[in-house]
Amino acid sequence: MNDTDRVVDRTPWRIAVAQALAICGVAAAVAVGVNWTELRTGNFVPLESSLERVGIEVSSLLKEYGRGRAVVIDTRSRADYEHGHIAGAIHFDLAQFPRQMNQLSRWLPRQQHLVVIGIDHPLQRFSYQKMWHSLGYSQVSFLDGTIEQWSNVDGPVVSGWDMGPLLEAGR
Amino acid sequence: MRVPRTSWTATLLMIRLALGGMFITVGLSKLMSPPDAFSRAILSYDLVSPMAASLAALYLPWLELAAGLCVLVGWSGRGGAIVLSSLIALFTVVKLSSVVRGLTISECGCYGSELAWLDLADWRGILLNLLWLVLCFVLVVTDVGPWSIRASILARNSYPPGK
Repeated sequence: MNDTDRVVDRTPWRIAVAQALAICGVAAAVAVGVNWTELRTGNFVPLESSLERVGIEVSSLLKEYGRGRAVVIDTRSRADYEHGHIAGAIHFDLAQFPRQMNQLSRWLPRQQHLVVIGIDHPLQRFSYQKMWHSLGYSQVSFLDGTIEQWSNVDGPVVSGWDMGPLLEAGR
Repeated sequence: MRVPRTSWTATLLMIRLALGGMFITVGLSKLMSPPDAFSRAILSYDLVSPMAASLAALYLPWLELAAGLCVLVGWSGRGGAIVLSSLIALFTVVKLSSVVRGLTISECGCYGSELAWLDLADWRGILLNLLWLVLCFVLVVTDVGPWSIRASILARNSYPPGK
């Protein structure tokens, strides 16, 4: 090959743009073809991706709590709750989900941000989030942290059973 | 009409090898990784919903692969370069937004597992993207050059042959 290689005209702009669109189309067709089953059944949203969004850090909860936008739902055992819980947290027995939700939903506004403590397993989080969603609570998060971490950032912690007035309100 | 010099033709070929090779590697790497990995990387920028991130994660690797192949072999190369420029420009804007918002993202997710050492979501990543963008623009402006499948097809169809 010497200094005077073959002369080659450039691809005209409109053809180049058409080529670009064709490449996008072919890639889309292949992507749809390869993932057809997932797309058809709606299972293409990776579970883990959805789950990562439902976690809330202690520092973020402190901000939401400070603004009065979060209602804390404590699903730990009654003993753990009485030992120490976030001030204002509602004790919630997951074994009695329908009955507890029936009581809560009478006074808990649907637009409230629910922050749940005590559910750590991703699949459990996913299923409970769906249950709360089906009841109209669209903002449901799960605390990625412990009561100790909460108190370390100066979050208010109280001990004892203070659910009486709330349960009365739900009757 | 200007006759391309061998040195420039070789430069264009090097650019195509670098760009095409990189995007083919990146596309294949993402396709062979768990499907969740790339969508999680997209989600970490906190710009789109999980569903949009998942759709992008299904589509973008194939687009990178297709455009990279076109640029590498020099068939529909100018179109491929336009696609790659658009992708790099998009990635640069996304990285820039993460830097401006102060997000701490350890791996940008752009390069897959094979080229993970290039995964930089800070200013260095943006500068690297700008370098790729310049190379893409060279191909968009000049086309893929004579050492390509397109040029071979044109030469075969020309009369007299080889001209």
